[in-house]
Amino acid sequence: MLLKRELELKTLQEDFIKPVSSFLFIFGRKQVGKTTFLQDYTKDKSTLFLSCIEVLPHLLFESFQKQITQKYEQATTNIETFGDFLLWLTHLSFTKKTVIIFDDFHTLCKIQKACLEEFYKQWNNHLKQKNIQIIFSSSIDSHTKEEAIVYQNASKRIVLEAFGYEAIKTILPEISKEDQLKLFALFGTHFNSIKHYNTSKSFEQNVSDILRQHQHAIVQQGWYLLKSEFAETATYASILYAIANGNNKIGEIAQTLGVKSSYLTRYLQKLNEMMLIKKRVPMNEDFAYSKFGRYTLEDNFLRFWFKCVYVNLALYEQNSMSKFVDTVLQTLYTELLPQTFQTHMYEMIVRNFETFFGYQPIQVGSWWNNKDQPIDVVAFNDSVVTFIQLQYQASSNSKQIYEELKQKSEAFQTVLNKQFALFSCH
Amino acid sequence: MSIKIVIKDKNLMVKEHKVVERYYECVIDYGDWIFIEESQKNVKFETENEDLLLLFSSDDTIVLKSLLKRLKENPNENIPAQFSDMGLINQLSTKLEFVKNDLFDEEYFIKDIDKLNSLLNGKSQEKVTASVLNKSVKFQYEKQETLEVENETFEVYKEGDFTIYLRT
Repeated sequence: MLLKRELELKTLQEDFIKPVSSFLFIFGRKQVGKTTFLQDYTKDKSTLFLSCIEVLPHLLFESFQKQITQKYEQATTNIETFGDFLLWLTHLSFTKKTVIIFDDFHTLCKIQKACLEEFYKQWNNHLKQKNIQIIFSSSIDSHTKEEAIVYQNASKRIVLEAFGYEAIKTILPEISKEDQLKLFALFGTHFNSIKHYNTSKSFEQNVSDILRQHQHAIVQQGWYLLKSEFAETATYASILYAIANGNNKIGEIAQTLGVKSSYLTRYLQKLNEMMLIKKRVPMNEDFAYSKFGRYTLEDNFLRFWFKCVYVNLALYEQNSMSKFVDTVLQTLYTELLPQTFQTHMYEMIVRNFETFFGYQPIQVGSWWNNKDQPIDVVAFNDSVVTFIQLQYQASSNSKQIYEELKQKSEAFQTVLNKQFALFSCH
Repeated sequence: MSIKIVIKDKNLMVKEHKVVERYYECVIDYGDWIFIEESQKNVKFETENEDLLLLFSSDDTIVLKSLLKRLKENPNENIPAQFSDMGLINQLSTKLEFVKNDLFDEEYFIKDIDKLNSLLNGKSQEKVTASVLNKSVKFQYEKQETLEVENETFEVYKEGDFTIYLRT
């Protein structure tokens, strides 16, 4: 089933129908579905789909030329640089508006330095006179000062997020809400795993079957991501492992790995640029300068992989599958599911705050300070502030939860009227 | 009727029993964590020597052999400080767990013989009935409404400035 990204498709389409040329960027972490999305977008359009692979530049441009000359009559020439290639491209005549896609553009940036600046030069000199829409898709969301001007002049900049919990509801509407949430907590929207779900079997049986029957693919999935993107696989894997295990502060990650915090900064920045982790700061804090940054893994499948597969590779390799399945289910119920419930509820509350609380907040977000007493959601307007606790299975004494939440709220400076709430599961 | 029992032993090995027989016996070792997929409210208890008999409304019976003995053996509060590794103590304690009935169900988890005794003599059974959500003896809540948001259902309970949203 092809899930539609309606909003992003509409954005691209609106840009496409303008009577001028344009270039734009699509960012999204590896395997989020960028290529599939672009294939869907271009299915009824004249398209040049150029996949950037890690190979010597002249070989890559040679293959681009070959692909293009199959469609357009144009003599090939010896091309060494991206600039040469773009110049060659300007000789083509595009009578019908054509989408030119540089898929995995970050790979081209790796093998050909300053390619974006070269593009911008050619764009201003020649390409913008052509009847084209150029799309750069990339798994890395970062740029140098020199490149900043190119990004600023792009007609659009789209960030493709992973499909959320809603996607599971669409793909498997017949299973219970609880099983949908459990499945999402474990595999996220990793379609290669969830497509094997058999609705006539129990959730636990499905997990067991998927892990047993697709063991090799699941193990390889994590390694593929790490090895294809990072030279220092062990370092990045260890950092992701530490974060998956609940070490969210830079100090905690450093302590787990036995290194200095300062050593981690560039690695965390790279993981952030690759959209594999997300840095969060408390509401009202400056993102760049806050001392209270917390790092989380964005993708549920990746979190499952580091929490369950990476650390249990021995069980996998020894084929101790029963033990492995038990470990996965135990981790799911005790850690992954409560975390997923919190995230799901957080997003739902933000989207529907007025329905739940009867007022439109000026600001909503999570809040914490250096006391390690986070408040899951804080929201306020000009008269009321609401403090919300999200707890998958609340302890039986909700009076205690109420008192604790009240006590935590003391650290949040406010003159507004306070109200409190708990979201939990039956 | 089939009843599911999951037993996690002291070495964290998990064994699942799908009980289909009307009368089923299960030997309990120290450190076992027994989970019965049924609300404690729906089960009657009886004892026989050191065994606990769980009598289900469907007339099925499960016998947890030696459970009373194991609960008595559980480490108590008088542990010298140098041995108070709670993780280890928890792992070595025998526990009996049922499906949590609601947010206020405090009887779903039994890890000492006193609690079991109080359940057996019926005192706690009465309290369970009294502690349903809208009549909690600890904290008075009134169920206000049922809220449908994005195809999900929430039961809303409110008392003063505190609101509970239970996703059902």
